[in-house]
Amino acid sequence: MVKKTLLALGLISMIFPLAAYASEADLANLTIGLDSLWIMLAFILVLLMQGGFILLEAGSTRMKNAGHVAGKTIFTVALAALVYWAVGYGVAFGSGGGLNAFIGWGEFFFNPATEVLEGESFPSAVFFLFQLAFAAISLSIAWGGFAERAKLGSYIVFTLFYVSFIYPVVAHWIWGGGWLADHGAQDFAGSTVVHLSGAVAALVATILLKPRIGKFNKDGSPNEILGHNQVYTALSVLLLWVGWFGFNAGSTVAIGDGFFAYVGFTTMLAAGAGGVAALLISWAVSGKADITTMLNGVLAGLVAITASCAFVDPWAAVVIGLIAGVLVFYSVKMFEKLKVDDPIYALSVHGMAGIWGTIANGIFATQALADKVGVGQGGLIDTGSFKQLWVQIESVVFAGVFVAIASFIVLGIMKAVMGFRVTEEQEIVGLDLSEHGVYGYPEQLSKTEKA
Amino acid sequence: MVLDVETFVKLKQNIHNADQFIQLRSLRDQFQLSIQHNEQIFHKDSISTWNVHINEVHDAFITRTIELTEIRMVGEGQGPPPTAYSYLLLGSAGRHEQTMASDQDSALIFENEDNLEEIKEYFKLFASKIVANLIELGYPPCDGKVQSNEDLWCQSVEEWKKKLEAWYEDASWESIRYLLIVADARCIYGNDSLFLEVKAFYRECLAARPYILERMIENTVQHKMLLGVFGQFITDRYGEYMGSIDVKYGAYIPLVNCFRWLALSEGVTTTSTLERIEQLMQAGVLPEQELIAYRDAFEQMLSLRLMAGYEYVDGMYEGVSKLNPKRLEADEIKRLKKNLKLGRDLQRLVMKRYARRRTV
Repeated sequence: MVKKTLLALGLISMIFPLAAYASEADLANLTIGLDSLWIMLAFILVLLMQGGFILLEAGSTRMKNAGHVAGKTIFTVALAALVYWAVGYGVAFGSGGGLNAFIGWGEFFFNPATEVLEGESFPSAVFFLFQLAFAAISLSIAWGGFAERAKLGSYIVFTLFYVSFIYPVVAHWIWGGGWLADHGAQDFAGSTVVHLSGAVAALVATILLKPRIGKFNKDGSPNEILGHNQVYTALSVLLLWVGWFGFNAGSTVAIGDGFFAYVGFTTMLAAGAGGVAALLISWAVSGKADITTMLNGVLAGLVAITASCAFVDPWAAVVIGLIAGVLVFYSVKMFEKLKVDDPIYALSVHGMAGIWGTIANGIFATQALADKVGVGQGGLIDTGSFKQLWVQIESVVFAGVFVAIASFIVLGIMKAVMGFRVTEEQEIVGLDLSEHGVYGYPEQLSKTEKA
Repeated sequence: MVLDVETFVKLKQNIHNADQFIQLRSLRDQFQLSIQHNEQIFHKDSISTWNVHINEVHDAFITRTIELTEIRMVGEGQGPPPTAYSYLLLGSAGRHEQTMASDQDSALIFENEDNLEEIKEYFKLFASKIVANLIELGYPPCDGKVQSNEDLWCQSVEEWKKKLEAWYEDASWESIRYLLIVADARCIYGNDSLFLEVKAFYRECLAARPYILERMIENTVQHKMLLGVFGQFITDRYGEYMGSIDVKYGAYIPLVNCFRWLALSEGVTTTSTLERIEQLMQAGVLPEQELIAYRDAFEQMLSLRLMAGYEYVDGMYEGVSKLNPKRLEADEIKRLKKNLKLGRDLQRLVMKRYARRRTV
């Protein structure tokens, strides 16, 4: 046994001589390499979440729009890549400009070095990719408010403005050294920046578009427009859940001392708690264990823990998830009561849970973890101080109001100038046919079309 | 029309004297209209009396329809019925619990003769004319095709017995469903003895296979009382009836099912639920001190069913099973919650009772 071990060690040191006799410089190189790989992996995971959004939105909507829903997601990611490269990244992370507290400036048409520069711990290109993936996620969340009735053209126009300006400004405020960052706002992976921003844009869009035909009766009571494939919806949640480890754990942007694992750990707990709480509350209140609500609960748990995954103890992660699961159930009811049509529950899952997650930091963050991350301070429970809670509320309010006003201007002008919504006839036929000329499920739908 | 006992007596007389379907139809419309404006009566303690009146009127309509159809058959050259027959009502009509707008659940039994096919042809034609005429009177056909003109429900005594035995042997979900439907049957017209013979056979079969009661439990408690864990009503979340409770399937039917099961297991043969309750008390199956509570619960379900009302669809009166609790007064809501809890307890009692039987 001992012989075998020695032999194996000897062989390993022959294959990896560097590891065995590494100098300090080599070790630094190795760390840079590992960190870069980790960010690259996280970027890939977050990009793959778009697959989750395709399945989520397609599964939650009707067959006649499925091809459109799937195709437009890919297309807008493609467009977002160019827009973020040309403008968005510079607004979010450019360090020049006299208004740095409010807007970043510089690095437009981003041209990164081909390797790691002196003083950097990873190549800037990989950071760009990671940030681009976040912007694209936020954009896909906003599409929830557009679903099943917006013109294809409006997706293009909104992508231009959202990815170049609206999203990057919020990202700059909190992550790019802007004024909220100065206040110590804690949003580790984007409950506010990514999720709340996307959801507020979705809210503005769905209000301007008005509900889908048939969603509400004349007396204001809502009808259930069932999605066409619950298996898609469930798979989407799994895809998003997996991708979320890139989202949250990847936001450590370093292997470091292994802190990324802890971030993944709290993420997992909150997601589980969200799903369990949502299923139980729907069971208790409406008598049936609603699958859609449970799926929304998992996502709400994930959205909520996104801000706080690096700042809270495990028990707090569970509490944050549990509350998110209950919140999402009542939030869906509330939006229906307000006659706001939210086809894929973006407002509840990303909006309400995003707000909750951000504020939860002010309650549950511990001083020790805040020190470790180096942002803000401990929350109400650990420190007894309301300061962090106030900062968190401030970031929710200001980010929310900014995105709402900016989206309203962009979408309002667009609505007046080029029109936002397809015609009634097109909506009834479905966007697959009206916007693209072919059905996503040709065999299923052409027959009914002829009939 | 003012609703009092005299009105009902007169209405029944008019129905009996009508010799055209068009007359019957106009009497039906009058009847619906008069009740429509008397919703407040459903709140009163006298609901069981109203229930009797309403069911007697429906019975009169159906009886007269069968009589007239029989006469028409002769007039159309089809001749009189070749054998004696029993016309059965099933479902809520079988239990004397029709609302203002119940659909048709019916069956037909005729005597065994050698020329079975010929006879069957006659009765199927006869039954389909009865069904059509009842549609004329505004009684919608049965969605589940439990109707006297369907092959399955229009058979000779012998066929009925064979079929019942097959259902007992099969004991599948569907067969059990049929057996439970037959448990509520009563003869409204024709030769009662044919029905009594089939019914006696039904009970013999059951007595020989007590285990079938276990299979019946699943079906009996399939509908949950619509009361949540927080004591709240479980209401429709979407659509036309958002915020309403399904008083038929979430309150009334679960009670009906439980008392039917208890009646079957204890050999109580009456079909009306209120009578079943009474007789189960007398048999000592249900504790006597709960008689009032069960009666109250069931009467409330009857009154809520009437309150839920009906819709006029394609010339027919179709029952509505959803009722918005906002239409109820506060003490009525309190009473309903109490009664839904009672129903839930009753469902548990039924399940426990079976467990006990099995161990004995």
